Amino acid sequence: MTLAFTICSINYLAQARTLGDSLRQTNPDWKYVIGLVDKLDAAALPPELIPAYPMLEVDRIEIEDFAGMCDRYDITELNTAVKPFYIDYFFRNEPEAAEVIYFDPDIIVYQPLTRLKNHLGEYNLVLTPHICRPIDDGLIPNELNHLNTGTYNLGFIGLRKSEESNRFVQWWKKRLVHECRIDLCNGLFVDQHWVNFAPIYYDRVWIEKHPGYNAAYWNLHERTFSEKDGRWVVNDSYDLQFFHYSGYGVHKPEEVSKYQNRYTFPDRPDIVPLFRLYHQRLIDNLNETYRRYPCYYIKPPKVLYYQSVRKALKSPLNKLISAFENR
Amino acid sequence: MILFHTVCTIRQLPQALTLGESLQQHHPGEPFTIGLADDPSHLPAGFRCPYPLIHPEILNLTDLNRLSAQYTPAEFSAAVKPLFIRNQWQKGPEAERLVYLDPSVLLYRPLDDLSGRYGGASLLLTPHLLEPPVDRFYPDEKYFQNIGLYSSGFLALRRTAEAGRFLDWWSERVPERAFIRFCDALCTDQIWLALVPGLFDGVEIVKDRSWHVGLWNLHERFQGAGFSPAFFNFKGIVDQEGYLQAQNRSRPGRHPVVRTLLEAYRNRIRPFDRTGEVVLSGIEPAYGRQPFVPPLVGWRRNVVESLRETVRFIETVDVPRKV
Repeated sequence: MTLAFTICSINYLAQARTLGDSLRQTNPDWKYVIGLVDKLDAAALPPELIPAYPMLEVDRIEIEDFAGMCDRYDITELNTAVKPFYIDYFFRNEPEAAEVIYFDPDIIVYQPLTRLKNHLGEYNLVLTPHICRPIDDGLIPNELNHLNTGTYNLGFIGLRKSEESNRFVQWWKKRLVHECRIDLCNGLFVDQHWVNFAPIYYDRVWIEKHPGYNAAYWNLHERTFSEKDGRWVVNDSYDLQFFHYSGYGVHKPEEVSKYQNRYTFPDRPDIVPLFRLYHQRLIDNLNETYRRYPCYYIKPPKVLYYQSVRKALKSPLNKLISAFENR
Repeated sequence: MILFHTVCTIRQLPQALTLGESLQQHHPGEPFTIGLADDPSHLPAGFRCPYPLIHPEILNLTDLNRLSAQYTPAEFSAAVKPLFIRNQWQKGPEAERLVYLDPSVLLYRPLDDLSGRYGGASLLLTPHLLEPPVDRFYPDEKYFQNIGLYSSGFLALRRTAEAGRFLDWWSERVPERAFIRFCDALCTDQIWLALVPGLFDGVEIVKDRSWHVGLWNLHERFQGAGFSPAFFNFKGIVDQEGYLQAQNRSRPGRHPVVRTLLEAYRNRIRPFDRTGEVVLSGIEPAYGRQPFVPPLVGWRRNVVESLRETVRFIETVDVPRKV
């Protein structure tokens, strides 16, 4: 059995349901679980908002230092940090699952993923690089952005249950307990940057360059889309496997993604129908209702009082630091 | 035929010549060329190079002075390195393979796997680390993300269209962007290699533990008796090059096997260091006018670290307002 899962809070359940619907349609024999970084008790969802897919709340997966992680991380960091913990939980508690696949909630699967399943018969991990062709401009995101934040996109990872992939998961988990932060100057970008090490440390990692995988704003420069006989095709010859609508919002339907500035929809008429479809599915899946639920784990923004006192205390220390550095 | 190539400044020539000697020993008959990232007019009178010494004029740099002004010597060398390699690549198809090695490398046995085990690959990369460090020494994995996971002290290319595409891409990017600025994802010619497995086909990550042993991986390579490196990079051990001046994980001088290799290496460099009365290693690089500021090491480093920690605490500690 293949187990696919996503991770989100209640406010993103429209996305998670859309992903689940697409999987049920294209890969009906797969099991799909929504990892929920939220508390159902606290939210008391009315029946019509309960998805048709099993949900697994994050406080049930036996994360050793979960309280500490909640304390240290903001909501983005927490949502990304729990990824390997879910994988580990499935490895331990779903003996039937020979493969575990993670998808970000803002993905639609368009095809039966037989190629992926075949690769996972042979390889321990399947990863998709952000870019398979160079980017010659300095728009966002460019090659340097990818160097800073990770060369593989962790909106997707496929794992075969094996000793080697378990070694990877245990290593990844260990790193994310304390270091799932964004600190580019110190080599950190949530869970994603760490995975640069995966093909080096671990054997049989398949770097998937098929242009139908994880199509998204970061690789539009190397991919064009068209519909042939009801199937979506990339670069005229590859079946679109899954599209990742990262950074797209129903409330800004004119923007491809809030994380990029390379393309507008008028530049790229080929992707317009793919986004229209997504837009409609989110609305049908009650995006408007879900998005109003605040996440249980969100912390009130910290207000730092006594700024002038802090400044007075810091100033001599900073002087000392520069004295050392400019010796 | 394999064409071996290195890029160095005049003060690194003794090391480059030592590398050349080890190449002649283990790959007799294969050519070795040296790209000089320095001003040839600073070479001492009477200096004879036993290998073709490629002068920077050949690169047709229209803005050599500007590059020299903006970079440190190490950044400058890195900036022109892909251009030298591409220049050698374009010399002709006789060389089925081109292998770049840092001048600080010494070869201990033939690299038969270039045409054997790795014979089908277009491009070979050697990672700094092959396994996660289990200690708490410096540098940790995060630092390797900043400097690049694959060392640019070694690069092997097979004559394929894909390898050519790589060289064009690399030499287009590096000359203007060889700064060491971690926050901007820049680190010489090296960090770019992290994108290479995604961007190019036929890239193989070399996991042979005997390849490219250096200061960064001594802890994971010299485990158990009988380990012997195929090639060793003495960068940062016999000079101030590289990015590990502040490392505190390994003490090469105290490791019995490494110490023996190191002493033997030093003895091999020495005869190449003199031309008449002139000591090559004493000649300052002509290009790269920005001063190299070595990182803090030892107790100074620790003090600055804890000061920083304290500043961070003062900035972020939660102090409730009096009501």
